[in-house]
Amino acid sequence: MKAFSAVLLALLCCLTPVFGQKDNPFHALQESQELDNARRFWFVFYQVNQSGGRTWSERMTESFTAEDVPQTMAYLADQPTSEVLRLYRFLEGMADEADELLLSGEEMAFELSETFEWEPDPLLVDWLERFGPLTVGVFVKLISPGQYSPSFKNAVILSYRLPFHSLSPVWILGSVPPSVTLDQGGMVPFAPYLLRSVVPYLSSFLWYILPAIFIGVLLGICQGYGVGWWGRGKPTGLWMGMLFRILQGSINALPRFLLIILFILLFREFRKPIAFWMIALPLGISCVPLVMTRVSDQIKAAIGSDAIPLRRSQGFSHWQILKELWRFRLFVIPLQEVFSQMVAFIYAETLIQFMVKMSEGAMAGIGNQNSLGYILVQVSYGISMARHQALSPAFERFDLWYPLLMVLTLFTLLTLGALVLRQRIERGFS
Amino acid sequence: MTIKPRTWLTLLQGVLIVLVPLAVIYQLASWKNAPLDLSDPTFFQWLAGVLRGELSADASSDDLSRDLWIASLNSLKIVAFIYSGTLLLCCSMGIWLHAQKLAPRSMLRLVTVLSTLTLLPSFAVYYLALKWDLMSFTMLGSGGHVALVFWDWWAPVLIFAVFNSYFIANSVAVKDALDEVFSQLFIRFYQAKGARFSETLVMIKVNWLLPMLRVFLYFLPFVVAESIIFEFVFRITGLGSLLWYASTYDFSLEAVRVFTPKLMALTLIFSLIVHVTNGLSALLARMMSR
Repeated sequence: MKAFSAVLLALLCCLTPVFGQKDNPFHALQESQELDNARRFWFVFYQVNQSGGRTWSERMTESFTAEDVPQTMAYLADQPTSEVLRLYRFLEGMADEADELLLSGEEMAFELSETFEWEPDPLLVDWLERFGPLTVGVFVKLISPGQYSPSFKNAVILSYRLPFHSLSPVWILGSVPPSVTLDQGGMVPFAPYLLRSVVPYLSSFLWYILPAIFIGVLLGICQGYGVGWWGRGKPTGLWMGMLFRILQGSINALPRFLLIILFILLFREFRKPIAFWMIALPLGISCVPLVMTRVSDQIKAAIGSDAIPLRRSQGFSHWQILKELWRFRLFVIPLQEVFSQMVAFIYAETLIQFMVKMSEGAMAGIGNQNSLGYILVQVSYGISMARHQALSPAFERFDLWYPLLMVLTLFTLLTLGALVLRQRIERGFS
Repeated sequence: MTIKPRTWLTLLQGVLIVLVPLAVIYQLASWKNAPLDLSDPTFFQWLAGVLRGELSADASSDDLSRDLWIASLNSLKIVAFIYSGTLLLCCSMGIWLHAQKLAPRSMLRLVTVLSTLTLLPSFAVYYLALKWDLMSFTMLGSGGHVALVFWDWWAPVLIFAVFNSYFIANSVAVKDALDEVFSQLFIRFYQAKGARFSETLVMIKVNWLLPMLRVFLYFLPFVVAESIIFEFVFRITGLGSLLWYASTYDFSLEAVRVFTPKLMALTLIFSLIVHVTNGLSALLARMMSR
């Protein structure tokens, strides 16, 4: 507990306000709006059109000013990957050249159209003039290597300013969550947002993972006791035994993260965003054999140590013995499992968010944007984008990293809390 | 040599354990793609193809076997590289813990705390590596085989080793196993007689390696899953990214298309990895308990 408190204290110390900053969010907003375009961050999103219903990227489009990618970009969709890479390299080379020779947008567009036989597009000329070939290059690079998909035809580049101009946690907690509705004006408090982000985890957890743990416990009790057609530890009979082992073996066959990916690939409806249950359900399924084995081992050990036979001979009913077992050790296993599943859930969701982010053209996103993983991925992706484009001095500033650290701290505290609770349960609360 | 019916049954069971998930995936995918009238092979055609050493091509690739081969090699390289970092960290920590005779309790607490602080240091490393231009965003791979050049790989390896620092918790397992091995009576006897540490190591032969081998095998599925993230970050075509792109939106069909043969082949590879790993670790456990 001392170590826990020390770490908690250290983390809280990290979050103390940095002095000398203007803590007024409205000041920061005004300041950020006065910045010229070149200092904004450029994010690349892939517009996903869906007949009926809105996708997450459409919701994002509502929040930010969208500018259509020049029609020329549609050219990418018909090219093989090697050609797209050639284009990227060309644009990268041109970026250096444009800096040295002070090429105008028109000259760059002319060079491009000569090399790749494009129609000179006025939109592209304008784009190159304002933001340089590197922004186009980044776009090309993002979609090219190995992840090339025809759905990039509908790409749209959106731009928005990152809202963080102050370093104070007070400001961060009271300001907009990263990447959400800045240009709409109103400030959405961040703290309730974080709280709200816990809700989808909790509900999925209640519906999918807890029942799975209970099923595991029940099956474990049956297996440990040898209830019904299950003999000691194994179902009796050739065929039932075989069926049982095959079921258990095939559930154990995949690491749970891969199981989640399989679920997502197989159960996602056409172009619909990934639902939380597609992450929670495989997690639940994968924990059943584990809980079951551990509970049954526990019971078998109790039988082996003569605790249960002794009680039986003293006239206790099975139900009373179970209650006794439960009171002592049996409840530890499911509770432990609850905590480890919780941590696994948060991690898995973040990883999936990340993968969706990296391949937005092909996927329709995760349905729920009120999640920790979403914030984490958006912000960290923003940072790497800033690096990609070498556009903004903001990379060197701390303000971008601040929300990231906030979310990471929350993650760490959650993980640490779960772990400490697990240990507490293991040792007993005495 | 005659094989007993019981062995046949066990073999059949093993084959079924591998095939049942594939059949389930096949059925679900074919239900999903059914209205699209796609020309994927039937389950048994696919199975026969696998047994003949050829996989049917689909719209996502013209030579599935070649793609899988390249992806497997790339994943193997990634796993070996990430592994080296994590495993070194974990085993050295375990040995260090084993060597600490005093105050093991506080040490264990320290390990617990360290293992929970997974993301913060990894992002700090990531940040610093970027800030000092130590790591570039150039991709390690671009569709084909990935070259193993240490100077290109050190930063990713470092980041992922720290990212996986929650595996440090497993150093406790190494410590426990070493403790157990070295608490054996005959070793204590030799130590009391004045044998040196290296001499005791020779005496117990490979037994002191077994706990580490077990941890090594325990990691494998995790690292395979983590390599997917690695592949995404560094744009490498590995097994994981192949799996993720086994379903894409097909504009001409206006639907998500699941490439069933690819999905099944990848599932087969992953499940074989897990089964082999589980088998090996069970074997090691049996060897250790002797």
